[in-house]
Amino acid sequence: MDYMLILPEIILTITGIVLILLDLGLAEDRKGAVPAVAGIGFLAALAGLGPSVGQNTQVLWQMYSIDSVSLFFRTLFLAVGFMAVLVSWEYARRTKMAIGEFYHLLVFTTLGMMLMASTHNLIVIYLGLELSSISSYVMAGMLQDEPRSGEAALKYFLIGSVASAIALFGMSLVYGLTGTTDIVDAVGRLQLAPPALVVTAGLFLLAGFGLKVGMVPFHMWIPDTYQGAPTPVTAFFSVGPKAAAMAAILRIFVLSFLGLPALGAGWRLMIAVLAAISMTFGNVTALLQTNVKRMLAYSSIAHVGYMLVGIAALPPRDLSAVLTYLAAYAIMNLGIFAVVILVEDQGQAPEIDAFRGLAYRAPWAAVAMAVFFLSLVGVPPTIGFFAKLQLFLAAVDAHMVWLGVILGINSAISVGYYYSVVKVSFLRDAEGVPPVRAAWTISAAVVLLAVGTLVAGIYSDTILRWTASGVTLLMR
Amino acid sequence: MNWQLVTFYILGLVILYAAYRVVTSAVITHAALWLAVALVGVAGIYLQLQAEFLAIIQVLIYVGAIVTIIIFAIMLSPLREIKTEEKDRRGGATRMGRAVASVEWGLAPVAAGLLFALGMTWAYSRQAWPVGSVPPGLITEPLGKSLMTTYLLPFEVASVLLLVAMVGAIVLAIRGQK
Repeated sequence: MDYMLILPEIILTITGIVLILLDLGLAEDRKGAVPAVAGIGFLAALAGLGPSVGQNTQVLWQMYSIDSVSLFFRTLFLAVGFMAVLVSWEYARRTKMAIGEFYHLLVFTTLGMMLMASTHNLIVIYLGLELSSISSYVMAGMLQDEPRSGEAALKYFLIGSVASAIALFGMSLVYGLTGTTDIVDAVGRLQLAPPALVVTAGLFLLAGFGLKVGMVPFHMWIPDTYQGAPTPVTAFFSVGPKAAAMAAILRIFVLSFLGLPALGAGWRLMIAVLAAISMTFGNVTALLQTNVKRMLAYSSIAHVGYMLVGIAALPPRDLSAVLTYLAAYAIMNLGIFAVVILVEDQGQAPEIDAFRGLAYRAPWAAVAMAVFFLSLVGVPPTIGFFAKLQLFLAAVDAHMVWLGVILGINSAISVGYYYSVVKVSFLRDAEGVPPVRAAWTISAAVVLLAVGTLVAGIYSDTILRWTASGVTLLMR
Repeated sequence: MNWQLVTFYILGLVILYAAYRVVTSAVITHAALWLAVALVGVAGIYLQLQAEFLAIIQVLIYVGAIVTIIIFAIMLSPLREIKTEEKDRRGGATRMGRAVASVEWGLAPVAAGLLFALGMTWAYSRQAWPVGSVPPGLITEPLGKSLMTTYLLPFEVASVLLLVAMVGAIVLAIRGQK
């Protein structure tokens, strides 16, 4: 039955609508129920994935793909959404955000990302993109008294609309060239189309989605938006929408453009070069930052570069390297942002100096932070190491050893700025900084993610085996 | 002479010029009215494609409802004119810099726009487009049927999208009024 397979999407839609109605009906001092309902909604939707496990089919008139790749991304997005509820709980209360609307938008952004990642149809990809983007623009501007938040929202909105328009134009070219909006149907006909036009369409699609993932040269909006948005929203942005746009790039490019006999090699080389530039630019610029949010924004540009390595190396290997890296990145980056939020909840601006003596104020948080940073650099036994190793091996297999070397050098560069935060939290005393009083939600998130980073690292071969079944199922 | 092509190019020029005026008008009401012109032009293209129902809907909803609401909103808000422009003129930008990069008449944006338009016109005229024309007859019925079958999912997602956009607009609009 079709509707059992889209149960998570149905549950999320209902949750979103319930949240906005609930917010209207609740007295001001009972608003705590709103994040609780959102969290339950995400968990219920995760449970609703049950019927989709092991399925490989398309439902709703070929518009929605239920395969292992979509299962991977839907699980990832729902888990990210749930963690976003945990990390934002105390933050939203403290900053007096419009709670009902915030969680309403969070739920629907997640829904949009799920739609984007589990369809072969350009129309649904576009609608999912818009659904997640429009909610994201508003979420970036939720801090009412903070001009930076408004600036973040406006910049994100302007750049995001341009990105959507560019991607849409590329889609219209694909439709014009092939007469179909279904990517899989389009492949054969794209091979017959004039190459100049196919390249134009591909460039538009790559630029549009490249803006969304924030790869160089389309990264200029990332630092300001990430710095100005409420920190839980930044945490969510750095993981969710990035992975969704990456999923769209995977479906569109792996299925069509990379597979074109005449042009595939050119696309791969271009993506490889973009990957190298993204990594290097992100890491080198991050070295210069003193604001931790801004530093992590540049770091996220570098991580997009790492993921692109996996895409450039795709044809000989399967999707497992990219998918594993996406999952690893989601865990460790959410984790590091959870620590930043924890520090901000003590009433401090997220400058490096705010982490002074964290090891004495909250040893568990400092240790967790060290784990996340080790994982982001790629040190064993964390998941970050195994994921990066896969990317490296993929690059070597694809005869792009130079790309693997750049990946390694960049990991070394990233130690520099990650270590600057670790240094002040372990080696500086905590004099004049308030002691840490953490709400249980944010503490739970930090601990869960830190344990996840370690456990996933130890069981990384299981994750690999699971994601390795991806590429055959991506086809119809 | 292919009259269909000629009318298409005329409509295209009208839409492009109107869209250009939407983004460059200093008075926000003028921008809204130029938007209406651009949208009517798009309705003309729908008519050319024999999608008469879409053309009517386009005029009814976009021109009749949305532009009207935009104009109402402008009337209700204190913001009538985009005032930043004057400050820019007095600001540090050199005459040379403005001549190259100004959004309204600078060399770089206009040249890029023209190049892109010419390139796409060339591409469109290459006749490599297999999309067939709509079969003759009313399209309303097949349109309605496909919305409820093939395109059911996009249709439903679009309605969720509108809900989210509405909530988002309200959240941003009540900023600072608490």
